[in-house]
Amino acid sequence: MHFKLRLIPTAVASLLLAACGGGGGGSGLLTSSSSTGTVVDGYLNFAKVVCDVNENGAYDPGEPVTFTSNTGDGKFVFRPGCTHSLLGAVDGTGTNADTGLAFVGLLRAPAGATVITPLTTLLAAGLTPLQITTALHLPEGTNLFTVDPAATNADGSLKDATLLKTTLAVQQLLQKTTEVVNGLAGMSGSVSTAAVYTLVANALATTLKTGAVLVDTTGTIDSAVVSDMLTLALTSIANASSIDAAVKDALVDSGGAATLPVVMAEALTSQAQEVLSAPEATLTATVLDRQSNTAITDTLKAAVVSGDLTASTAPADLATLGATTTAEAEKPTSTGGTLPGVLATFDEVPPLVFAGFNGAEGSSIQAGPNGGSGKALNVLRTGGEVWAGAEVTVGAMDVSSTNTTVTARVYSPLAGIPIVLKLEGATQAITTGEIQATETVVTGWQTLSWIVPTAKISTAYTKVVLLPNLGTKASVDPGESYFFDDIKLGAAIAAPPVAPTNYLYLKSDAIGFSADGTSNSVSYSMAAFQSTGINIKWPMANGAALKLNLAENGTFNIANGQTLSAAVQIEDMATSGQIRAYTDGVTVSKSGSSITLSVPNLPQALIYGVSGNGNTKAVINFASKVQGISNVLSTATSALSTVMFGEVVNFGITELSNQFTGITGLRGKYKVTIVVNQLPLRKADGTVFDTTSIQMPTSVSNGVESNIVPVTGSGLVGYINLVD
Amino acid sequence: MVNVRVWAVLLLLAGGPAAAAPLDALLTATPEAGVQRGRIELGVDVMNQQLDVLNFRSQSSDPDKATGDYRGAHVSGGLRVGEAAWLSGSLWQRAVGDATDTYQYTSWQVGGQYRFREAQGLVPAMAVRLSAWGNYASATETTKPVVVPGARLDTVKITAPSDQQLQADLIGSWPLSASSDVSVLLSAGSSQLSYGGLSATTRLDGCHYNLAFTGNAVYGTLAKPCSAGIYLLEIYDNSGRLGIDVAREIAWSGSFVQAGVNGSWRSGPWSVQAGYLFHMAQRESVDAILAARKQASYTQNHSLIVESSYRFTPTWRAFARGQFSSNLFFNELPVTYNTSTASRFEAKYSVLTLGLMADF
Repeated sequence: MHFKLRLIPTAVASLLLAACGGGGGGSGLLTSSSSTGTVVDGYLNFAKVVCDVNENGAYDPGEPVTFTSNTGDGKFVFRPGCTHSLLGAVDGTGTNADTGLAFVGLLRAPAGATVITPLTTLLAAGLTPLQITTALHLPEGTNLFTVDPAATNADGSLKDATLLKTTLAVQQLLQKTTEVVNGLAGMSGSVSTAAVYTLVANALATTLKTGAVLVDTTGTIDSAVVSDMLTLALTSIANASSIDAAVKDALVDSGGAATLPVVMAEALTSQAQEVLSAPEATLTATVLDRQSNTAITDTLKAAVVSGDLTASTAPADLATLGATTTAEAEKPTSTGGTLPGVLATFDEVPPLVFAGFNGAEGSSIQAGPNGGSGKALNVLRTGGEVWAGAEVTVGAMDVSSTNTTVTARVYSPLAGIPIVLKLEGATQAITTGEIQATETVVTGWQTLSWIVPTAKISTAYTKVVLLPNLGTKASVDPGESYFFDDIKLGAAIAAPPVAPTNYLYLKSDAIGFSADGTSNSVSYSMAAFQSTGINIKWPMANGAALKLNLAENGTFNIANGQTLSAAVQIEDMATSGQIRAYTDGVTVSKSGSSITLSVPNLPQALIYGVSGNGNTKAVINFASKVQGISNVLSTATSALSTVMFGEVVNFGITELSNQFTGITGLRGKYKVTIVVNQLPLRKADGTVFDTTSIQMPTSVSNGVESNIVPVTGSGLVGYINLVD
Repeated sequence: MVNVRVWAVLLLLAGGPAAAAPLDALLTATPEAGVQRGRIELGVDVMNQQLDVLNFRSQSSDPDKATGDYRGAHVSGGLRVGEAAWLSGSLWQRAVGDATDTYQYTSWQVGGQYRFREAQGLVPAMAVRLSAWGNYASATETTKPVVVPGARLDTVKITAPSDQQLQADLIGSWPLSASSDVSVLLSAGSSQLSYGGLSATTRLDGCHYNLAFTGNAVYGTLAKPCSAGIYLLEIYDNSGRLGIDVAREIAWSGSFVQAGVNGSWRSGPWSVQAGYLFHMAQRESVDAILAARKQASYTQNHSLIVESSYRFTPTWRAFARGQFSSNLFFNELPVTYNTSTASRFEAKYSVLTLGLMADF
């Protein structure tokens, strides 16, 4: 397998190319170094944490970097420690372990803090702890530097639910304001997000410093304070050198600080209030719904396009628009009715009762594959019967005429597998019968839904029975492994209220591959890539290239200085051999329909490989082969963007294969995962790609993958077939 | 630095002439000849180009076989604890060189000897002797490239290499006259080598790497910035691609037997001793690995020791001792024998020792 270890990295490198072509305010009482800590907006997985050595509130090359874990505890470790301010969720990193949503913003914390939260961001913006606790109606003396808002008791309940809800409400204000500002400009990427979020947080701090009380003694958020914060924020954004001109122009078009506070303050307040007032039991669901809600941005952008929101819009019209915006903002995000009821997250304490049956007795609750959140139910089918599966006791379910849809996040190792579900009561006689998932199953994680027939509506159901690959007997070894997570009951899921705009996509969701680099390419659908796979002739010609027919829905902008990371993971389907490659710091810019990707002269470009038997692991630097490369992609009509990669692969063969033989013997099917971040990539119909993480070990000390750099972003999983 | 208390303990235990490995060739069943209660010996051992006037040491342009200089110092002694019983001990510091590197070893030995039969007529005095001895170093590092099946290692460093031996001797001594005797001996023992860690440096595709071994698994890291195109930053390999079986190659176990004969003669203040020892070792695994690689192994050594002393006070004597061996020190320093160094044991060697003995 050694030859695969060395060959595939170069192939990955080429695929990778194909994919890409403060303030101070710390307490003087705190003197300890922050060697460990927690990033909290809910716990964030794989959030990039920076020790801000030069205290400029931004990440600069050379400053110590670490990442939070991916185990859902938000923990990070600096070795040997950091005595400076901290930055959290840098470069658009961090995924909420509870909601699965990507974090929006840039968190900060003063030196010595052991938590990084929206509230420590206010500390870093110049507020004192007393000013914050007073303005947010938190108990005086709450140690905002060290208390983990999301900490739980042994029984799983929050230790300080008020602190977490307040933290999340503040995040809701900061995040949604940031999204509106960038959304009006069609601005994409972490650079603009961080710049706007920082100014918004500073504005909130400045507002509260005056003595303004955001949350009163009854737990009510004052929309007037929100409005003041918006006025300050929009004014500073309009004048800040760190803000892209497109954002400033969009603010001018919409009236900026003169109009936007009027039309969005109540809507923002309403959403933040909903988070603040949410019962602990439904807090996660509420945050998921509110943070993923785009109604304010969608409504205001539509108003700008229609001319209903300009600098000269009459006050009465602004008030009307404000009311409309608030009404839209208060609607649930994904349904027209009630929020989905959570039946099972598999992170419950104590764990839910479950049982595998008829060949799935080895099922268990455990951490799921990449892309999942927290624990999941692993249904492990090893022989037995064709109906081998598992049942989970979730308690009484309110299946009613308005709640007929069960959804779950499902991980399947193969596409096209029938995933069947049924609900049962105290006896097997009380059952919905077998229900086939509505969606076609793809490889990896996806959300599936099952609609309970009207005739089967009942409140007597207490169990969810999961029957993956029903009708097919699994092999005893290795068997079949499926994961189920976040099982919910709700109304039928409606399409998003507003069609997404301003994104990049592949026309017809098709990928072209040219064996010789000419326009004579073979087109594969994304679905084919995800199921049967793309055939690649092997050995490869120097001119082999991807041919991409890119397009824009709407128009998106990218701020100056935006960089992206891209990663590829290739897994040998016959063994556990695996290759991962990534590069970061790739500068991305957009001018008209041209998207230019430039790899810097000193990129971080690594390959990690593990042989099929796990006995050999390596980390390879391939920076020299990609540094300085620039590629221009086009979204113009009929333009075909070319990404060459054959030469790089062949370089690898000739230069690196001297230790291996049989390199041309590579054949077969390989699973490929591609992740690109900071580009507004969607499928052609606007559907988002699953958020996927590829973990790049940068060390293999004692054979253990360590110093992992995660690359998280829009992910696509498919297959390549190396053929003669 | 040698712990002073260890020296003190050894001196207290000391007894009988310091005849044990590595001076087994001079063992006698009647060590009390000329001694009442005990003996202490202090000596310095040396060999270099200037002293090797007879060119006894093997000279070779092959760095794998070339011999280097040797320096050492020792204290040894014996204490008579009964009419026919002795305790003995010794402690050595040695600096053994080859063509490129010098290795520092500490050698130790403790033993007890009991004479169970006195000489009568043609029947010799007979004694049994049990001893434990060994060698260790804090670390040994060779800067001469070592070629293993899967790589060329530029340097190799072994931390805490050591050997330990248990040995039993049966000694017979015949008094020829009041001033002379002759002895024969048969010995058997076992050896066990160990080490604390193994590391190395190597080059791959123009880049320098540090290698750390854990068992046979190797973890390599870039030793310094590399300007090569695509290069390894780190590698972990437990597949055995280097072709090294670390424990079996440098931490072998084995057994040995030896036979010797010696004689002594005293006249006035003068005393002369001469002895010959044949040593044969059988090692587990390491020699088989050498054979599999079509490399020579060395299992036999012939040693000759000649010693002359002069008593210049009733207690003190000065002595000079020459030690000649056919195959380096492998019966004295088993720790130095491994698959990478075995070729050097083809060489002859000699050591000159000068020192003082105090009989009391």
